[in-house]
Amino acid sequence: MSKIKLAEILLIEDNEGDIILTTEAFEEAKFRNILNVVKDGDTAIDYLMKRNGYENSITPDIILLDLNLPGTDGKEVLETIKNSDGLKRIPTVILTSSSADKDIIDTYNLYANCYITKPIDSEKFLDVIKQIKNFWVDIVCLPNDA
Amino acid sequence: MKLPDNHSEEEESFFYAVKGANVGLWDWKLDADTLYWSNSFKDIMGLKYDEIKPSLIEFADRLHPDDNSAVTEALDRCLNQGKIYDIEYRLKHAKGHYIWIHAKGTLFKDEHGKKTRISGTVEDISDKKKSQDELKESQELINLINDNMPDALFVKDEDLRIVRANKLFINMYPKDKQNKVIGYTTLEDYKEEDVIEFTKLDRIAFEYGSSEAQEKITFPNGDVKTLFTKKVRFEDSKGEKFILGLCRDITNIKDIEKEREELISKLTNSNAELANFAFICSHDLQEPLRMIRSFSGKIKEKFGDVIEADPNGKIYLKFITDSAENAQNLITDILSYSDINNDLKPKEDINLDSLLMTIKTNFEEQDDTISVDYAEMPVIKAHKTQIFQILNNIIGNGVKYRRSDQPSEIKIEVKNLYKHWQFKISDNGIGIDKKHIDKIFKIFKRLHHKDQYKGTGIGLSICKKAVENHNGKIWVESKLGQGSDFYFTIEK
Repeated sequence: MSKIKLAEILLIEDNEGDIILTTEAFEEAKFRNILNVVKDGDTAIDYLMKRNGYENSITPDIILLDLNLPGTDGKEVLETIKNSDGLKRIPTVILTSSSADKDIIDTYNLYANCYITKPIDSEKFLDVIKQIKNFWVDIVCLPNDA
Repeated sequence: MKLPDNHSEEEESFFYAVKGANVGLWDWKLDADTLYWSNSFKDIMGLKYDEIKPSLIEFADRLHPDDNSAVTEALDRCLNQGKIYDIEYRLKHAKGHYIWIHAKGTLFKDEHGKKTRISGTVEDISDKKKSQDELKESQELINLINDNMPDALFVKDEDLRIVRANKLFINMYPKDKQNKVIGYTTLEDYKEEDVIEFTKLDRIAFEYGSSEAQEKITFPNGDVKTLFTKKVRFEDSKGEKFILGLCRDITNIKDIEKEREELISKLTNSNAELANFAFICSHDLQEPLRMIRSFSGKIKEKFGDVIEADPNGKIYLKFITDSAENAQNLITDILSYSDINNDLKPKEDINLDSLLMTIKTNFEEQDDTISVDYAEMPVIKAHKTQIFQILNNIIGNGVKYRRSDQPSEIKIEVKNLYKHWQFKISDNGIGIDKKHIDKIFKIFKRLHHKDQYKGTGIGLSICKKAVENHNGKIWVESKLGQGSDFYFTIEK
């Protein structure tokens, strides 16, 4: 991945507080990226499928997905992503407050790329965001179209 | 059979004796090779008296092919060894079917020792044979049942010797002992305490006619089984007393019962712990949350100017107070969810008219664009707090998820079913997307953003729990944009 190109990150998250924390963590980490936020499962699917008003959305390089979403939940969104030929190669990071075994197993069974429990501490949260960026944006080799 | 006209007294006695005995007579003269058939013999075979020639061939023709060699051998033994001819065979009756004959005969010689004739009687034993066959068949059926029934079976005599047993019973002994079961008490093969128990039941059955019990027995092959055993006394034809024992293996059933009891006790414990946990949460968590709210209020009060000078500062502070409030609401709702399971108050008569009037007034006073209407309501026997929660939550949802472009109208109807009351609460609100309809009764599940509609996602779970506590069901029919009809049933 070229260093010049800005990484497109899609954050699927309904909690306003978490949106602010994540946005600020990205800002603070001084990443060259574009962070788009959608607040529920149905909108996320519309955004990724480029429909219902999201015809001009850009396919993200990484998806950060919360599980507990109003209406269509995170697992259903993940299933949609991983069942879609056009989307399934996008690294999808589960970023959630749940640390329940069931959620971890369920999402890996649905081919989540990794599962992270949101740290409560804001400094650690910043650290996690930095590491996600380091790993998925800088270290990992991804197919060109991803 | 007829008596000749000029008969002697002796001839007359002979005639009636033969007739009375219902036997036929035959006489095979060896020299002439003729076979005399008495008229009573012809009667047995259904023949007219002139229908058969006095010939051995007539006999051979009517003999069942399978009995041919046995008859030939018996005649041969009689003729050559002088043995009594005594045999059962089948002969073809005039009507075409075979009848069973029991024939007896003796070889006679003249004064010079020359063999002259074999003479004797025949008797129709078809009826006897038939009942023998039936007996055999029923014995075979009994054996089939014994060997294939799922229960072990044994018969003991008064000395407690096993005189009969089925395979299942015998199989409870090790292989090398299985031929030493019938005819033995086998008491030495069992544990002493088991023997005391089951011989006591044997004696009760001998004395009082029957006994039954559940018993745990270690069998000679090492199997430990819990049995339901029934013992019944009976007598044979000689008047000797026996007991028939039938043992049903209920080991698995007992194990399942035990597992179930353990499970129930575990669940009861974990329910109690859960209730306790919820209680602890409510008190111990409320405290720090209250502190967060109070002190963020203090910060706002004292340092508000400084913090709010930065646009982010104001937002951060708001998140703190909002989140603490949210958490407090969650705790309150979780507590009422867990309280529903611990509702120890008995059911009482509830006047739904007056309960709904309270709810109606409460909602209509909030806002004059809300109307709650209900048909005539019955008095039902139920847990009052829970019924209030169901009605209040569903009506509350109807009002909360209203359409902004029209007044909010809630209607409540009731139907009298056989065992239940069925309630229907209709609203003219925003409705529910079909794909989410299955999720709405799940705890914490929400369909909307908190900034759109506030809430913890517990309300309908509480309704579901409360309805289930009344052995009822809850469901919803709805279309997006067209209002919802919530249904629930309450057992009478």
